[in-house]
Amino acid sequence: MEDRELASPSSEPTAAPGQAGPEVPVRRAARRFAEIVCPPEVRAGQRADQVLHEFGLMLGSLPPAAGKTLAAALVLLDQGARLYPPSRGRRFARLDDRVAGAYIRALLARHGAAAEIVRRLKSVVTMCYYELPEVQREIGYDPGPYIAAVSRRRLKSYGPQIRAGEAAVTAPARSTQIRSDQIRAKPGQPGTGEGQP
Amino acid sequence: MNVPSGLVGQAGVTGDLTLECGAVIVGSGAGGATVAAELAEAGVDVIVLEEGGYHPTESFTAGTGRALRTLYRDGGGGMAIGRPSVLYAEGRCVGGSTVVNGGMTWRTPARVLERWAEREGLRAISEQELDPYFTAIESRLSVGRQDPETIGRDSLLFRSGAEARGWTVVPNRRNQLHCAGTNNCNSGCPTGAKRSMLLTSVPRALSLGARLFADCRVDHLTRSGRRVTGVTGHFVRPGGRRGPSLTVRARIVIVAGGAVQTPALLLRSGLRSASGQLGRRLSVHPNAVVTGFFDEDVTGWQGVHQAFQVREFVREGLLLTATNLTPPMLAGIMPAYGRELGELMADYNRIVTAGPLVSDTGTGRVRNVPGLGPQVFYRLTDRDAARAVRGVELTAEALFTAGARRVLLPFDGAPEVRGPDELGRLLARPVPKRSLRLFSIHLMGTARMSEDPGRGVVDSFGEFHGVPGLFVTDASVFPGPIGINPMETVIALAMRNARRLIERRDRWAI
Repeated sequence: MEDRELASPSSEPTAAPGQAGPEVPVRRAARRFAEIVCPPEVRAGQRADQVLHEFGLMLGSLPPAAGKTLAAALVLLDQGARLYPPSRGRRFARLDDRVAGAYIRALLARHGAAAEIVRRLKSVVTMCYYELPEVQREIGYDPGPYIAAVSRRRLKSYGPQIRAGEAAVTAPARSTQIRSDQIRAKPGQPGTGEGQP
Repeated sequence: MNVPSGLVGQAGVTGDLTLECGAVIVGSGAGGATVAAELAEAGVDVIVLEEGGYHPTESFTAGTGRALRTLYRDGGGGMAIGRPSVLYAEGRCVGGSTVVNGGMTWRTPARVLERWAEREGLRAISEQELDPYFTAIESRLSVGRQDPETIGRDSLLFRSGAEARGWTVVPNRRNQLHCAGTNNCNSGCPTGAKRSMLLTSVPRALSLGARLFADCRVDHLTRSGRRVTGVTGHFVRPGGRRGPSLTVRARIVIVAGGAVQTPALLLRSGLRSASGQLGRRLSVHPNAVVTGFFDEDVTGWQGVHQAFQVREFVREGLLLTATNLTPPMLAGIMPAYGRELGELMADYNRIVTAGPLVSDTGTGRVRNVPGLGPQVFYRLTDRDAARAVRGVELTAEALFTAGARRVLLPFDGAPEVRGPDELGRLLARPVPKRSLRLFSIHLMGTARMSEDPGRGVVDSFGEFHGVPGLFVTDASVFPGPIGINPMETVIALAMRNARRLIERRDRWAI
């Protein structure tokens, strides 16, 4: 999938080939954050690495200021754990699961900008986890074969109408006959109106 | 990859460009692509500039992350700052948001048009006067009901719950040519059934001689005295790097970047509205998601994105609908993490996601913040917050009636609710406004139409008051929220404004 992305003729504000991902402190905090906010199966195989890869791509798609803000927030989250009494002065990446989970829960329970940023991080990281094809298959989501099947059904059932509709795109338009002095429909006949609110 | 003739992406540009044309159009979504096709058909020399990339149908997959990164602005993660903040998403690609919307295609409600005409003195905007445009759009975009075999179990369940409660439910009208029901609308339709601008007005405009530059960000409008004379911008290389510059000199400039980018561009170009309304009066149609868990298999992703709308509460400013979310999207909004998130998501195929859309009375503002670019601020009113909660309650009631065993509500810290009684008890207490989790995909109203320059930014036909040659044609011209999916209204106004320009083309020498 990524090859297709990079082969596209367009600029895509994702990381370009060879472009570095998040820096080490960010990666370290992001990995530990993913282990806490994602289901425990994130620790299986290469999943945490794959989540980090996806996360790096997502950061790259954000405006530079927003990407830097989220990256900085991860570092702050990591170091801020030192001020969380049960951490006994350790940073987030060094906390055991129980204390790390309690720390995140405490942050999310707050209101204000800090909690909002942690929620955004949680949202992005869990999205990245559920983007992994093997995770999707585990919960019964496998859209590829389904899309292929219904696409075939569509063409088989409606092929001629579809081709006619597609050809109409570049055909001369009747609408070019509309002039503003001609748009006086009969009162009470405003077109189909079907289902209009 | 087969790139249409007339379309140039950043890879096709090696040095700075200076071009001339009759009309330069900023944006290729519902407004920009429509006006481009209309003007090109009339023989106007048209250049369209699109900040996003060109992504053809063959490139669309079910990958949510890929779609967010390539088809949406800022990875789909816009945030209107407020209490609560409202997440929003905007398309950024050739075809604009029509490539990633759900395809709901509804005429502007008559009562909305009447209100606009009455309050803002708008001309040629009655239901009868717009009817020919609506008719033309519905023909060109193949607007119609869904084929029955493509409607998913999630939509049928939600409809059954609503109808059992005696509520009015209508089938959606969508711009689709025998939609296959892939539920991939928000990641780009992989069959081409959705008749987005990418597959309709953009190729039509190109076939009629228009030129389109993708990956091209417009930085400023250029002016000579009061009159606009064109635009300057630059191409965007992979990774967001700055590419060659572009200057376009044009007789008229049409801005169609949407309700955030349009005012941002105009403001950073030094334009001000005498009314002071440029960038203000943003409406967002706040949405919320209620998650219902059923005992039976739903497999909501096997079927169209959204098939019905509950219209029972339109007079209260509420639309209800079931919309399936992909696993990444659902996980992103779930009020859970860790093991609990895993347990909830394990039931993915037994979930129905539904929710209200609120026709809002609150307003927001778009401002250019140095170093950050356009930022959106939004104030949810107490009244709208109450309606959002009411919409959530109604949605949950419909889900329970349809057989849901438990629901999750979009309020911070809300417990799982296991039946109507629990729901009633929970909502008997006030829900703090700041605890609402809201999002938006309908942004409107930051360059509002009014014949009165003291109230609006543009006139009835999209011309900027006091700035000859400058037009706006996107949802930012709406004088207020319309309470329904805005795409057909944007297209109808764009067609109408284009016809007006063509009739008066001598004035603009186009």
